[in-house]
Amino acid sequence: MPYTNGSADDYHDLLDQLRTWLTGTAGWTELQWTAPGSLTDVATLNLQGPGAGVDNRVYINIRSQSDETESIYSWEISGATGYDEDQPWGAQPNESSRPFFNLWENSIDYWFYANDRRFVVVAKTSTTYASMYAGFFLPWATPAQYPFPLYVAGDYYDKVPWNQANAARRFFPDPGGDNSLVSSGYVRGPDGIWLPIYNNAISSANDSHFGSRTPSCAWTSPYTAWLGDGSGDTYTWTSNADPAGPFDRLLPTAQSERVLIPISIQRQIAQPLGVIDGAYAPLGTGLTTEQHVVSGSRNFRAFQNINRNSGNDFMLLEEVA
Amino acid sequence: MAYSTATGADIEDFMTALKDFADGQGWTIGKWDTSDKLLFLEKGVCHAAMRWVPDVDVTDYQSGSPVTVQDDYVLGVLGSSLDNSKTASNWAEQPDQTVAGNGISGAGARMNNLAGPFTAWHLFSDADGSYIHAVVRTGQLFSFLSFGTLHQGELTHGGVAYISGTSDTWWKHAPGGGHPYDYVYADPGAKGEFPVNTRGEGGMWYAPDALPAGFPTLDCHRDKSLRMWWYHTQPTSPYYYMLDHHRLASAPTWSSWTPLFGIPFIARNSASDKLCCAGFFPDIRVLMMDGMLPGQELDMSGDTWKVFPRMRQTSWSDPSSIYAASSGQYALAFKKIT
Repeated sequence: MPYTNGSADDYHDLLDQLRTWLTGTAGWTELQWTAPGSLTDVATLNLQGPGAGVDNRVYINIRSQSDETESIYSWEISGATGYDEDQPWGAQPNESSRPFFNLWENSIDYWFYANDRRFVVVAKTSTTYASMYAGFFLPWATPAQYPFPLYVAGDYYDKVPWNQANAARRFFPDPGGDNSLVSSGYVRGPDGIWLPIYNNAISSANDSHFGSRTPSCAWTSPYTAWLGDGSGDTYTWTSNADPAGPFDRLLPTAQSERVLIPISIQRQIAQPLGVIDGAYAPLGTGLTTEQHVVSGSRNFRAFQNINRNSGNDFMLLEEVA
Repeated sequence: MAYSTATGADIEDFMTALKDFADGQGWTIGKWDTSDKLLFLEKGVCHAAMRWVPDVDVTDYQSGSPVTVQDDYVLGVLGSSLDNSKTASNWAEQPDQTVAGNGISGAGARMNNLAGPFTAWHLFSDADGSYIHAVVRTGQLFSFLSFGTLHQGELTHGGVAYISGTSDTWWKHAPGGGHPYDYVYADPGAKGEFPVNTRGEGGMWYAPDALPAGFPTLDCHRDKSLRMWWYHTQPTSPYYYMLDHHRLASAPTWSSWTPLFGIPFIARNSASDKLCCAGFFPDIRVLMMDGMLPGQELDMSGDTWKVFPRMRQTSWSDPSSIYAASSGQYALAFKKIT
């Protein structure tokens, strides 16, 4: 599972560098690429990953979106179960809704992670860290039982400036959405239905765990909890309100180490689906963003949740040479 | 052989089997006294002292009228080492152990429902003998006891010992506390619930070097430590006050795979209200056992896991489970290593 990091000139150059790296190093295939002529032109990229085999390829679609007057420079991302070159944007087979990965027009430090099943991008714009995930997660099922376990997540459900801050703008393992259940993350269920992942709702607060999910919602643990009883924040891991979730009270061990736990994808009233590939939640505060974390023979890098960098606001991405 | 199953007539039969199994797994038996009813044993950082209490009469209110029944139990504490000179009157006063008493009450571990005769017991360990799990079945009722060293994964501390048991009882206490019934369901958040022992004080751990400055090295599990607040449950419904780990582990109907969730060990510094996760209870997983039977074995990636209800398996839709020992479909799986 290769990874790399570097610097791009702007949001378009970041997409071009990702395309070059995925196809040149990570074994992905470029199905279509339309290069932009200017900063505000639209770039489109259709990718195919090896996936789980011939009948289970990964199809990811990316399109740039911009609005100079609003300082918006974003990627629009979707997943699909196939690719048809004759179809217009947004009409690929069984295509998902399209969350956004919100960047800017200036230099961007980046980290790319990829394997046959998915890729991850973390982008630093000023002091903000946005991230996205596109591809398969690790389902509790065989490929025959669950042929396209797709998870597609950006940082927000809409295109916004890089410095947009509210409770619904999150990193990819912890999606948020608006109050009509349009989300920054989507998962394709075993029945082929795309579900919005709805950990947080719009709020000016730092976190706003949403306690009124519908049966068509999914969520991720441990960044939020079921909340089906309408108890709101009380029962989440990440709430700071005593005596609720413990995350912000969890210290590392005396050796400054932390237990890492997988991030699972849950449905509100149905069985769980699986875990996100290569991302973990640390049980212990005190991390700093970009920190290299060694756990035995494994290497990880810590990234904060957009602008948040206090106790519970980190994920660890595994770095495998 | 890291797995054994047999049966017996009473609590002393069970304790004898437990002692013999631990001995076979490399534990040092410091004391075995059938007069004082004491078993002291140790391995690595785990120094455990136990006392069993037979022939205990309790009052059961399940039928609405008080009925005297028998319910025997085991108590357990940890020390920073073992003092094998202790007797029945001071057995819990092990080195550096200051939170648990010698009698029925106190902060140590407790395993109830041991009057016997037993349908079967199951004893589990690993190749290193680093832990001992005991599952005791009486009819359709299950109780648990476990002690040993946590699984710490890649953490480099020197090991954390624990002891934990099922203190929930099959019999019903007298009504009280504003509740018309003091239900006998296995509430995973209740004091003493195995293995997290989260509400009140129960179970015990010894962490010589693992926890941050300010944390005790030998303490009981305390309120708001291992408990995540969702450790509440009404076993009459799978969706009300759900134990989150169990919910996470619901068996998908669309595949043959059942996710088994590990149980993190989280110690609490009650002075600062800070927490620290130092590993996982070894080779125990939580799951929902819908569609499974007690004792059923799951084969996963070459491992065999044996599934037992938390107390007694009942249907979610069975209204009678409110008034009887019940744990719905909440279950525990133990790795069976042979």
